[in-house]
Amino acid sequence: MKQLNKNLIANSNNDREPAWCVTCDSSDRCDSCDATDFGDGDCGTCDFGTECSHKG
Amino acid sequence: MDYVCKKKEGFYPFYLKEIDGEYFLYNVITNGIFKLDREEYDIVTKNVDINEEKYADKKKIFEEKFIIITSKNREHLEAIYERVAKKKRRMNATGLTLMISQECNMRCKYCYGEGGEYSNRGMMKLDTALKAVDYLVSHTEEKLLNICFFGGEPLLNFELIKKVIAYTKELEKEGDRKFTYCMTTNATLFNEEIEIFIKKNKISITVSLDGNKETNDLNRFYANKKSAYNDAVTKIQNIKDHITVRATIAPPDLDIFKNITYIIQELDVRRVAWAEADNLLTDHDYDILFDKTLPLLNEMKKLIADGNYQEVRKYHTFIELLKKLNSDGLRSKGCGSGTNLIAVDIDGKIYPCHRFVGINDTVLGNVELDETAKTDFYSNASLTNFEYCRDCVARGICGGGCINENYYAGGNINTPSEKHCKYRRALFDKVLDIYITLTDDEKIQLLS
Repeated sequence: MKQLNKNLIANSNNDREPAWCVTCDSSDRCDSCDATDFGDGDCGTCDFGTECSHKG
Repeated sequence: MDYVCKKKEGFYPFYLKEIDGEYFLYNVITNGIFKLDREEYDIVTKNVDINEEKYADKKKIFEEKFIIITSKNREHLEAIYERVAKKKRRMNATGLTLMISQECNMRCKYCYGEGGEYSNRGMMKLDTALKAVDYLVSHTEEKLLNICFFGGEPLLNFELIKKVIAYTKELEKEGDRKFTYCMTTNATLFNEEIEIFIKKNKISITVSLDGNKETNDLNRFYANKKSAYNDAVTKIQNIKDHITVRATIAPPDLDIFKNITYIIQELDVRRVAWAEADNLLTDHDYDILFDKTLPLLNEMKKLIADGNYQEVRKYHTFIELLKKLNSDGLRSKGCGSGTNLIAVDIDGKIYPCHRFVGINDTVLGNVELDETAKTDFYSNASLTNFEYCRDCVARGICGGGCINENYYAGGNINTPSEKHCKYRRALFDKVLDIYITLTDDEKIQLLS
C-alpha cells in the first residue's frame, strides 16, 4: 500500500498546532467565495492567499 | 451515477477507484489516498476477515494508514479533530469584510444583495468603519489581519477605503498587528488614481466577470440595463496582472468550459475562480453544467500533460480542489464564516459573513455598541453536526459547503442543497481521478 497524498495525520502530535492541514479551515474564506483574498500577485508564483505567512 | 462511500465493519468509510487496472482507496474520514495491491483490494472488497493470521502484515499496514478503526486510531483522530475544531468554536476573526457601500451602479440578475443594497441602501460612514476595525483588533488574538472592501460596489465609496487603510497603517505603527487588504469590484469605476492606490497598498482585487461579452451581458449590466462589459474589460487592462476574475456560473449560459477558458485565454488576467449560483440552478441545470465541466477538466489534463503548469495554476478553483486532496487531514467546516471571518454592514451590525447581511436572525452583534451576542451561532456549523454529510464521499473537500447557500436551500446552515451536492460529488470523483494520476513532480509543480 502506498499513500499518494501527504501523510500528515499519522505524523501529528499534541504539541503541534493543527494549522498544518490543507483541510484545516485555515482559509477564512472558501476558495470559491466572492470575498476571498486571492493575493495581489506580488509574491511570484505563490498562491497561498490568506494562508500566506509572508504578508505584511 | 451515485458516488457513495463503501462501508465494511471495522473500517473507516472509503471510496474505491479502479484506473487502468490499478486500485485506489480514498478514506472518506481522513482524506488519505492509497494505491492498493490486489490482495489489499480483495481485503476491502470481499468477505475477508483481516484478523486471520495470514493477514497479520496487512492488518498492521491498514492500522498504520488509518484504514481500519482501532481504539488508538480513534483516539488519535479525535484528538486532532478536537484541536482543529476547538479553534472554530468561538469567534477569533482574522478577516473583516466591510460593507463599504450598500449601493451599486449595476443590477446583476443573480445578486444576493438585492441590487447591492441588502434592503438598507446607503454608504458606510467613517466612524462605523473605524469602530469595525477597532472591534476586529480588540476581539482577536491573531496578528495578521485582513480587511475586505465589499459592497454593493465598494469603489462608490473610495474615499472611505483610503481613510480605513490610512487608519490601519497607523495601528500597525502603534502595535504588533499587520493588515492586508482585498476588494471585490465590478471594475467599472477604475481610474488612474485608483490603480495607483491599489498597487501601492497591495490590495488584492477580485473582479466579477462571467466570460465573453455575450455571456456577461446575460446577467450583468448597469442599473439602466446597458452593458457594462466593455467598460470593465477596458479598465482592467493596466492592472490585469494583479487581478483575479471571479465568474458566477448561472443560467442561461452554463458552458463553463467556454466561459472560464475565455477569461484566461482572451482577457489574459492573472487568475480565474468560479462558483455556481446554487439558488438559480435546477437539477437539470446541474446535469448540463456537469457535462460542460468535463471538457474543462480535460483541458486541465491536457495542460498538465503538456507540462504547462503555469497556465494550469491560473485556474484557481481547480487548483484548490487538487490542493485539498494533496494531504490527509480532518475538516471541520467549509470556511471560517462567523469564527475566523466577520462582516460589518453600514449600521455597524456584525454578521458571520457578507452573504448574511440583512438577515436579522444571523446578526452577531454591533460594533457601534461594542457588543457581541450569539457567538455560539456558528459553533453548530461544525461538519460533525451535518448529518446529511456523514457518509458523503466529498465531505473532505467540501466541508459542508457555503453555510449561506445552505441557509437559503434548506432553511438552516447545516443542510446543504442536494442538487449542489450531487454536482460536487460527481466533480470530486473526476478531480480525484486527476489527482491519482499526477506524478510526484507534477504535484510539486502544481501544488507547492
